[in-house]
Amino acid sequence: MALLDVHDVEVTYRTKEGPLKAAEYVSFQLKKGDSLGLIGESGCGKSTMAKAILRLLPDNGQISGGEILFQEQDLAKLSPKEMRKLRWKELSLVTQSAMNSLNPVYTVGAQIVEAIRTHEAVSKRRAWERAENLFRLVNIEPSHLTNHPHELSGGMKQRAIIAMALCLNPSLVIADEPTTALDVIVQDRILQQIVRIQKEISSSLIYISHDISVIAETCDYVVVMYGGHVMETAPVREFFRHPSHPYSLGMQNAFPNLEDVDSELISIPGYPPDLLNLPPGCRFSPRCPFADSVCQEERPELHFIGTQHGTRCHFPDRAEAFRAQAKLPETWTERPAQGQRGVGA
Amino acid sequence: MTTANGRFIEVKGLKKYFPVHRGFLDSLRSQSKYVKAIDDIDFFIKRGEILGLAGESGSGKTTTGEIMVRLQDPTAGDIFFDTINVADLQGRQLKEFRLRAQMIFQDPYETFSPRLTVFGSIVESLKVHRIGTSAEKVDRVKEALTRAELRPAENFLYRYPHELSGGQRQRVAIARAMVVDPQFIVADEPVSMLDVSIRAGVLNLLKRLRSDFGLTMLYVSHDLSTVTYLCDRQATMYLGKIVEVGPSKVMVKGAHHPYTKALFSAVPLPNPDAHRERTPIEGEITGNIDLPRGCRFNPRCPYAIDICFQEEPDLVESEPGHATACHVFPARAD
Repeated sequence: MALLDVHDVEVTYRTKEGPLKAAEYVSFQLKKGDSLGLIGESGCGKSTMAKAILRLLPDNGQISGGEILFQEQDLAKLSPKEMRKLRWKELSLVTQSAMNSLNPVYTVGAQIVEAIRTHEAVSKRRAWERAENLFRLVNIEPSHLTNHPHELSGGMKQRAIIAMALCLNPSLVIADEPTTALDVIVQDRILQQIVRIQKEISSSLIYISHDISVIAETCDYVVVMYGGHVMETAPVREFFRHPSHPYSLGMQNAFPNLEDVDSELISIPGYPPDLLNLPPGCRFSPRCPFADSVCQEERPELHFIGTQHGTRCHFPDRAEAFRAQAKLPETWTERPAQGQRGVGA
Repeated sequence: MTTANGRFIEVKGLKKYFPVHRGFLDSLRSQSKYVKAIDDIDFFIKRGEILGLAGESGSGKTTTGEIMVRLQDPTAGDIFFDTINVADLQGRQLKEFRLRAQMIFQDPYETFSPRLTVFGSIVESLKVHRIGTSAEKVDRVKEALTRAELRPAENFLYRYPHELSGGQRQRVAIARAMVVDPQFIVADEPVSMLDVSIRAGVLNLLKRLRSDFGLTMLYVSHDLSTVTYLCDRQATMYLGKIVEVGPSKVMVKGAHHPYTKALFSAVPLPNPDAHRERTPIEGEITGNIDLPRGCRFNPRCPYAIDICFQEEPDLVESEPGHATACHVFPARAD
C-alpha cells in the first residue's frame, strides 16, 4: 500500500478570465521511505500539486476532482480542522521563501519548541532537547537555537527551516525548490543533507524543482509535468537512460551538463501553453517535433511501457526512434506555424 | 582597432570601494571603513571573445559588470576599451561610449516600463542618441527584434511587457541592447530566471550574436554550467578578487584554486549515477569589510598553510592563459 496515492487530481483556480485548470488527471504514488521528484517549468502545475496535497491552495483554488489518499484517508475530503492536525505532524513543507517565514522577534529555538508543543504534549525541556538534536541533524551548532533569525546566515536559516519541518517526524516532507535562493555551494550542502536526513528518518519526500540535475541526484522516482498534465513518470535511472516523452527528451537536450561540455544545447522551440487557452489534444503538441494530427485533437492517455514507466504520448512504441531523432538539432528547428502566445509566468 | 596584443578590453587595477556608515561615535573614532566590492583586479577580453565572471553573491561580479558599461564609477583603475581609457569618461564622450557598450540584466520583468510597448522600450535608446529618422527608427527596431529571433518582428512591436513570456521579454532586452549596434555587451545572469527549455535558446542566441556580429561579451553568473557552456574563458571572483582565470575547457577539467574547484564540484549533474568529488570547503562567503589577513579565502580553505594567513597570493600563470591566486595550488600541490 502506497503512503500517498494521488489519483486523477484536478485543481481549478477561479480567475477573472474564467476557470483555470492548473492540474488535470494527475496521478502518482509514493511508498514509505521513497523520494519522488516533481519536475517541470513555471506554470506546469508542480507547486499547485504541493499546495493541493497540503490543502494550502489559495482562496480561489480548489481540488475539483480526484482523490489524494494519504495513509488511506482522502486528504481532499478532510475538514480544515482535521487537516491542521495532520500538517506538520504527518505532512510538512519546506519552500524557497520559508527562510523569511521565521518570526523575527523570537529566537529560532523558541519557534521550534512552540511547533513541537502545539502538536505534542511534551515538556519545554524535552522539546528543547529535541530542537538541539534537530540542529545537530542539519549540521548547525545547537547554541544557535538562542539566536534570532537575523543572526543566522541564509544557509543556516534554510537549514533551521528544514529542522522545523522535521521536528515532528512527519511521514511525508514536501520540498518546493528549497534551495533556489541560496548560493551554489550552500545549495549543494543542503541538498546533501536533505537526502541524508530523509534516509535517516525514513520519511518520504516529494522534491519539486525545475532542475533535472537536482532531481537526478536526490530522488528515486521522477514525475514530469507540463501544462498541468503528467507527461512521464519513471524510476530515476530509467528516466535518464530511456526518456520516452518528447518533452522529457527536449528538456534533457536543453540542460547544460558539466560532464559533457562539448555538446551543443538544443532548446525546445516555442513557449509553454497558456493555461486559459490550452491546446485541445496533447498539451505539448504545438512544440513537439513528432506531433501528428491525432496529437492536436486527442488527449493522450498515460501509457505504461514498463511496470513503473508511463508516458502520456500517442506513440509510446516509437520512443526509441524519438530518442535517436531528438539528439539532432534540426529535429527541433522552429516551424513557422507556431505563433501562439506563451503565458507570462 | 585593437591593442597590439589582441586585447580589445583591458582592465588594470580596478577597485570599487563603498564607504560604510556606521554609528556616529565610530565615525569620530577611526577613519572610515570600506566595503571593498572590487579590490584591485586585472583582466582582458579579446575581440569577439566571451569572458565569464563566476562567483557567489558578494563576490563583486555584478559590480564589475556594471562598471564595465559605466553604470557605476570605479574608485580606481583603468578600463582600456579599444585603446581609449573609459574609466573616467564624462559627458558627451561617456554618452558616445554607451553606444558601444550595452548591458542585459537578470530580471526581464523589472527592466521594462509596463506602460511602454516593445517598440517604445527599444526605440528609447535611438531617441536618446538621436539616431535615424522616424522611418529608419522603425526599421532598426524591427531589425533588432529579428536579430533577437523574435520573428516576425511586426508581431511583437506593439505588445506590452505583460503580454510576453519570460523568454520573450529577455529577447526584447537583447534586442534593446542590439539596436544601437554595440561592440561589447555585459550580460548579468541573463538566463537565471528563465525556464530550462527557454534558457538554452537564449544562450545559443548570445553565441550566435557573437559569431554573426563579432560581439565581445562579459557573461556574469553564479552558474558554472552555463558559464562553461557559453564562455571561451572564465574568471572566478571571491570577495572582490579574481582568484583564477583560464580557458573554460581547461578549468572544467582541471581548476586549481580550491574555491573554483568547490564551485565546479557543487554543480549537480543530470545523471543519477554520477559521483561528484566534492571539495570540502567550510562556511559561507564572509563579509568584505574586515577581510582576513593573508588570503581572503583562508577562513574557508581546507588546504590553508602558514603563508596563507600571512601574505595575499598574486595571480600567477601556471600554463599559458591559466592563472591562479593561491599559495598552495598548483605550485605546492602534490
